[in-house]
Amino acid sequence: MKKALAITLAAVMVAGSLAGCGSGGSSETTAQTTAAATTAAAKTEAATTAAKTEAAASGETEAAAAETDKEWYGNDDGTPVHIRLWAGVQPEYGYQQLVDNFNAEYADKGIEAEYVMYKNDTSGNMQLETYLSSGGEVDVFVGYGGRPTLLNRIEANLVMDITDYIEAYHFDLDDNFGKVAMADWRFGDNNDRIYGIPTKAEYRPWMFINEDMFKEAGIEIPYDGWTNEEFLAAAEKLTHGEGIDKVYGVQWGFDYTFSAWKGLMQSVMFPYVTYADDTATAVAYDNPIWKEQLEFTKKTIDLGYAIPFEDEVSEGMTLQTTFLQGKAAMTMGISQMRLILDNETYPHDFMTAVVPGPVPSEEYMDGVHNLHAQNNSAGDIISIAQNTPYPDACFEFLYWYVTGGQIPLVTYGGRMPLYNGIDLDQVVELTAAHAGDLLDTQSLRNYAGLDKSLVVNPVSLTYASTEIDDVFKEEVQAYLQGSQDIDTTISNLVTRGNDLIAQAIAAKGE
Amino acid sequence: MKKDQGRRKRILRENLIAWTFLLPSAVGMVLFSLIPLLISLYVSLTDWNFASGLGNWNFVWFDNFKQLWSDSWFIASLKNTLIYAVITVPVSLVLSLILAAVIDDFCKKKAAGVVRVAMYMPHICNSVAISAVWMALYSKYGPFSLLLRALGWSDPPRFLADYVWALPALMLVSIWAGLGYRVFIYSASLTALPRDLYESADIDGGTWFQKFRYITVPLLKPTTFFLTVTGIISSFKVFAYTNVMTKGGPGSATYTMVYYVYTTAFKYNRMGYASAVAVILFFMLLVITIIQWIHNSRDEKR
Repeated sequence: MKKALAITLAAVMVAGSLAGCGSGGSSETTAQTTAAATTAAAKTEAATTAAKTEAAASGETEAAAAETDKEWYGNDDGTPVHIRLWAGVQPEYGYQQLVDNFNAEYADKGIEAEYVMYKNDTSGNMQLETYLSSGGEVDVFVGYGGRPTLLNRIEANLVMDITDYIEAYHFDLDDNFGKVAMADWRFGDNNDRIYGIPTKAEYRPWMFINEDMFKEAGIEIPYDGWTNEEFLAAAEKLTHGEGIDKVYGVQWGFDYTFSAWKGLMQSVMFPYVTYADDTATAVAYDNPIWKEQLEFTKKTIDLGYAIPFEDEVSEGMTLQTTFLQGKAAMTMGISQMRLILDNETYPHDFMTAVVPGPVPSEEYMDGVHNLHAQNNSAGDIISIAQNTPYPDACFEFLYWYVTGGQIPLVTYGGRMPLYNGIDLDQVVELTAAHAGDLLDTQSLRNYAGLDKSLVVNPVSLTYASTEIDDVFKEEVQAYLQGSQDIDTTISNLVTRGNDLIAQAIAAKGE
Repeated sequence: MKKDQGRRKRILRENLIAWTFLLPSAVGMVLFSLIPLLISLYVSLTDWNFASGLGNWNFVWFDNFKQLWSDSWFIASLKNTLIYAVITVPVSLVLSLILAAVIDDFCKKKAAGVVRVAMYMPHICNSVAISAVWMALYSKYGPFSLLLRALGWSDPPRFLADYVWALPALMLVSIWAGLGYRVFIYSASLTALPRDLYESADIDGGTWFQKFRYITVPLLKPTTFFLTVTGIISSFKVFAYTNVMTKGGPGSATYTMVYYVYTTAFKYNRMGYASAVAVILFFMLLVITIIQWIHNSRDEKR
């Protein structure tokens, strides 16, 4: 009897644990399919009823557009639909406020949004992609990593084609986000399909400086740009102290914001920075400017003005542990502006200014190169999950987000909007009101007011771009830590990069 | 005849019961080990890119395996993994054997328990937490560097970012973290050893070291065998310390095979290629384990 009981129990346990996942999954899928079917019907309806006024296209803010939206996005039984927004930023830097605002505004329209944060690193992105392919967890998401990342996800069928919605909403992307900026985000054979809308204007070669330290050392704030030479002189004056108390002139951010430092070095070479031309069949590392810029970085380290590569890596240094603690007078990492604005978590009592990073020489001091305006890496791409059961509600949310809903991200997160409909004065005012004495308002105005139409898109065809970036980091680290000379470094970068490209092309069978 | 039938029935029932109890772990084993293993064997022969979705692959036979040998990252990871195993396994075995014997012979009962538990703690600690603590220890202003400076080395290396020191630094962490577990296993075996051998050695006037060398070490051979096999397997699979402390760097100085599998699969999305590395790792471990088994069973017969 006992044995029989044991057997039954064991069998039930196993069956239960197996069936548990199986049935749970399938019922969810059924629910999704039904929901998808109903919304598909509603979608066509939306396309017709949402023959919007031209308000959106002319760049007015969200209020005008929202009024023309359909009345109810929720379920037929009167309950709201619940959509989840995934992005890689802590909720307190604007996202919580954003969904709260949305929920207040859409309470009677049947959409409820929830914010879910994912970590924007290898495993976090893997988590996002896994959820995107399994369905049910992500409805709208903000992606990073530029065109190659989005392209990968499009090819994996994880991202919804929103071109028809955009047409139905009469939403002119070129007008609202800049023709050139948008050009990088069109896909498909005719380059006319949209899978995501860039929301953030970001100029990576810009940097943060500790204005108090500058004033103390009697250095003029380089609002209008500077050369490497002028930068070096400033770094020298700003560096002082020894051992654990040493204050460095600059922290390049080799560990926590490598791409920002790389972005500064390559700024004047844009767009041929990684690939030598539009065919992307060879790397660009033999451009003499690469050598010049790398040697300049090495010089700042050798002279003791910059935190050495090995120190940054072995200590896992971040902007929070150095710049915000007064251990470095300048730092890269403009995408981290939210940390500068957050005096609660990272208390500091000095004023920060955002200034353009230095250019190699006087010849780059003209408008475009000097202020790095062509280097607008339009980012924070907002997309809809391919298998969301609520595409209508998702697009309505996306539209609301990109046309002004994102304001809290500006205020609390220091993320400058790409959308033309948001007024520059408003951006500066809102950020300044939140930042108080922490941020030099004039410098922010310079940054936020850069001419967005000057953007130059990166080479859109890419091969093995992640691997090539890793090779770059590896070889450059060896050079900056003194274990190989510059010529070997350049030659390794070229050989290894070209090998990777050749392999990737061979693998694609082209 | 009837009796025979009854016996057969009983055997059948016993078998059934046995299988039922084995079923949960067998199912788990098949679902989470065997099937993925077979899938990865298959995938290693394809050019599957993770981003292109399941089933979207071409069969390329052994192209991935051929490509491996001209891939500097793979070569580095293979070399580092071998160095890692060849050094950490023997060093931690010898250290833990000596420590177990010393604790067994020289610590009082209660103290021995406390010492063993204390040494065992790292084994049950999260490896990420261990890594965080050791990163602080290895820091530029951490205790190791301060000690070396006090001893007159004016500019000691940044252990985790140094081309020469990074791998040894990781090995030290792994030896330290695994020591308690091994001491525990050895200690358990030590208490089971026959006392009479030690008593006769005492009568013959054997020293502590002689007893250790000629009685303890040979008698502990099965335990040593077990720890060698599991030690080699776990050192081949080292991942967490690399991932948290060095990310394979500086350069590729601390790339290990599993870390390379991880980056190729989930960073570069090259599932087929990553599976090929994993398959190589699998066969290396298989061969090592078979050799050890043969060696051990030959010894046992002798």
